[in-house]
Amino acid sequence: MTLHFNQESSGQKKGAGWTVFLGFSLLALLLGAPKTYGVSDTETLQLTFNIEPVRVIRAEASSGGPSVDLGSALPGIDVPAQTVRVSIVTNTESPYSIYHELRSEMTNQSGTMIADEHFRYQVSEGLHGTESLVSSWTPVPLGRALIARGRGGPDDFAIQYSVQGKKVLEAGDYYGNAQITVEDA
Amino acid sequence: MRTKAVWASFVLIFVMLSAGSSAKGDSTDLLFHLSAQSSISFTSNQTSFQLTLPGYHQGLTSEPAAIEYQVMANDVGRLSDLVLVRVMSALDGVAIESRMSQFSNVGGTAHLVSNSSEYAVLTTSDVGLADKVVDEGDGRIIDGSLVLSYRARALRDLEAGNHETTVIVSFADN
Repeated sequence: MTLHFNQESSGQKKGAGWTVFLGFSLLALLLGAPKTYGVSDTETLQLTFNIEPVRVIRAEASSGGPSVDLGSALPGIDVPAQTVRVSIVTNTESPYSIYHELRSEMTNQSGTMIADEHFRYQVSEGLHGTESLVSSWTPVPLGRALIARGRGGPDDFAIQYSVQGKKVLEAGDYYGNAQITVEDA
Repeated sequence: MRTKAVWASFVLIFVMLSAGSSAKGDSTDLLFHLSAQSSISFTSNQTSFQLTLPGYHQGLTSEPAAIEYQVMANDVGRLSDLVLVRVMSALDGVAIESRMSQFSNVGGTAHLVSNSSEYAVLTTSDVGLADKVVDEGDGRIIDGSLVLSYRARALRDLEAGNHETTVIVSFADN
């Protein structure tokens, strides 16, 4: 540590004693001060960014939300197919599996169900390599079914639903629900 | 300084653990809705038929004419008199009679049966010819074909000539 101390030359003889006193006072002050005073200290903190692996699945019907309106059934006419766009958003490249779980069958207020074989779906190939395991019209099974395999990375594909092969449906409003899940392959 | 060092260790351990884990699964729900409107389709390929009496004496009956109808209805709550028949106008001296002779179920949850083995005389008011038998669930779907047999019967001795009327057949679901 270097201390620079400057003293004016005028009145040097008369003030020599005063100067010596001031110098010793300052030295004493510096020696008595805490050691940190005027000392440069460095601490190193390790900063780590942890970007967690994320995989999100989104489904959007033509309604703009998760509600799939299959329309109005007329006797003798198959219900036109409705498309649900499915997006996988992820920041990992690990392969994944996509499951479809029909949790409740299409049922009207009097408890009449549309039989499995008439409620059908098919899954398109992904835009970025997701492999469809339901590439043709297939009855939607009750419960969980593996419908597609993703290579990894984000992708988009479509699921189409339709009520087919049922000539006449009992009158009423039919409701059902399903869950689509993405998991590690 | 010691405290900071301990914290740094924790941070590093956490980072190492989490870096090795994979992405969590995610799911999304879908709700399906389908509306099936109440409907009845009741048709026949035949629009007219002719009955010929073998003579002119009272009590003679014609050979029956069998007319087939296709019915498709999805909200049938009615149990009796589902097929109703009437004539537009009564014929002088001639009775038109009918009964359901056959029903073939195609895809219904119920079927129709004749409510009588005898012919019913048609009038200008509806006469019920068929009842419903539930096969499955509520039995609200009737889907099949039925055959109505018509015949004419001379109520008295008749003069030669042609008589003409219109037969109106209806299907009632409720």
